Amino acid sequence: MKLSKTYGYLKKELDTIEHALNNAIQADHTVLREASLQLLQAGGKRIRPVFVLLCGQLGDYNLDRVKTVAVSLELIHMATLVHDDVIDDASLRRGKSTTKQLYGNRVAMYTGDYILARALENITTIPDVNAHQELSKTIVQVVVGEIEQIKDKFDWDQNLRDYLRRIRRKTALLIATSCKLGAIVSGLSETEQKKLYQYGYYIGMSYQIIDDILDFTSSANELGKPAGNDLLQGNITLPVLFAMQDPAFKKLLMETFESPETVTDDEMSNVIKKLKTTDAIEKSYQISDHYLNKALYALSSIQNHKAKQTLVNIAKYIGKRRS
Amino acid sequence: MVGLQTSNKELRNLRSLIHEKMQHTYLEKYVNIPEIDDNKLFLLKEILDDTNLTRFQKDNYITTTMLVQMALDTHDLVPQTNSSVQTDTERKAKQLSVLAGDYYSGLYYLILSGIEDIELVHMLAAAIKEINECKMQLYYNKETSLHEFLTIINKIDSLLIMYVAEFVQEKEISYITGGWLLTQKLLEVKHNLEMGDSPSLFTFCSGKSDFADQLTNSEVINRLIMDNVAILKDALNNFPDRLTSLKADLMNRLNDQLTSSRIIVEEG
Repeated sequence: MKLSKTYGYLKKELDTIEHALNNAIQADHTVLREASLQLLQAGGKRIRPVFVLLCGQLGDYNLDRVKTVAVSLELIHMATLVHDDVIDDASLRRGKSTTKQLYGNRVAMYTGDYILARALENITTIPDVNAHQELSKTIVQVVVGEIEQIKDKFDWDQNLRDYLRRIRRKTALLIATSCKLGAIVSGLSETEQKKLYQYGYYIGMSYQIIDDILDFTSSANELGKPAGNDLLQGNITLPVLFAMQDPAFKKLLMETFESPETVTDDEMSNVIKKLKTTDAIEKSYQISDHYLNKALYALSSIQNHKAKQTLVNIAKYIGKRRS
Repeated sequence: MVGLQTSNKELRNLRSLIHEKMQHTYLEKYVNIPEIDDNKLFLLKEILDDTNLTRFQKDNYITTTMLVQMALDTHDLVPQTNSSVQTDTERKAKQLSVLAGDYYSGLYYLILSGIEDIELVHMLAAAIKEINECKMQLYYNKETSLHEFLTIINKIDSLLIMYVAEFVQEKEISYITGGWLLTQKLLEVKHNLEMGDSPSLFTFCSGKSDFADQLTNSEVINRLIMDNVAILKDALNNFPDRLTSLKADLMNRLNDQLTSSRIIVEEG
């Protein structure tokens, strides 16, 4: 089953959001418009808008308000992706050419800046100061997380705490903020806002951990990039951290990555094979499950509602994700 | 840099305030962070000093506008192609230049949300949007005329401050912002040219003269400065009485700069 099946009944609302996203990036300059639209048309799960919608439906639901927030959050995410592709020098995303690949770094920078500006222009039509304080704090934290990721590359001495702090900023905060902003614009109480924020935060942590596991357990075909690509890029994720508790594996890793740019496919396959012989994958799933349980617990005090059930189903889906 | 006396204590304090907000040890280690543009800082200060905003608000408006400017300027440092990125340090510098710009953008939103000034966030975002449209225009329209070229680069340079001036309803200052900043830029080009450098703006101007063919490159720049200053002085002469002090200050600064650049402008 696909994740989108869990919220299939939101199709009409998601179509409205898609339409609004399309309208939001109608730049005057042809190339700027094409670059932005190309990114939008490359698709994506629109998971942030889904969380805004669902949390919004738990309160005094107004599609226009919720749509404004959902569109802005997706635009912020899109802007981040365009700039990330410049950072990673990535030529493909979701199987399609990146803005950087099609038009060069400069246009990718302008496109990202333009999309972020559109996001802020859009969200600032919402007058609620709390929403802006929350979102702006998150945007800064997301960037700090990316800076930390570069700083921590190939640092074999980092620990679990460093990793968790990094994925918190990289993934969890924006999902948590999506949930909270949906709750804020629908007038939910502060306690409910907090619970939904926690739900989004724990879901985000779990989601990223599973993503990091799949980087080793899925095939290149399923991933759309080589298996172990995160490690190849120098990103030390949870499975690697657990596997490194075995001194023999740590030694192999350090020897293999003594000069990272020369690591061969065979050497990489060997590292992945050895990682899988440890209990690293199993332990990583345990941590992911721990966050999922916390997410479900955060929801337990929220009143019964179809949207709440969908949030539960999303959590369960994420927990079972194996590809 | 040609132009303003930056020893002014208030400007120095503002610069420190902006640097304090931007401070990030790891970014500073790798990114060649651009200089704060004193011409823009000065204009912003003058615009806001003419309002009834509190000192706290003024400082925050100046800081956040300059953070946006720094974000845009830092992103302009990202190399166009990756072939120029060879070493690990160069790769990190490129990656962190992207993130430094994003970080300063985030800070502007964070600071203004903190002081609950959501309308200015909106206004600055509108300016960023338009500036990036102009940057695309500049990037793709290589064959434009000198006049069009100067109009676009002047918009890129001045839109942010013009939006702020309009936001605080300082329309007269908004009107001269473009002319003032363009004059500063042209004077800088002239200065660099005299020092033997050939700045990119000049390289473009030298091949795009809309003036008589017999003029030398240096004469083209001088002519542009003279034309621009004449328009600027005309606008300053039409300033309302409440801006008399600012008018005198700008006139004095301009005349000093023209004298040191040995440019004589006929009074209109």
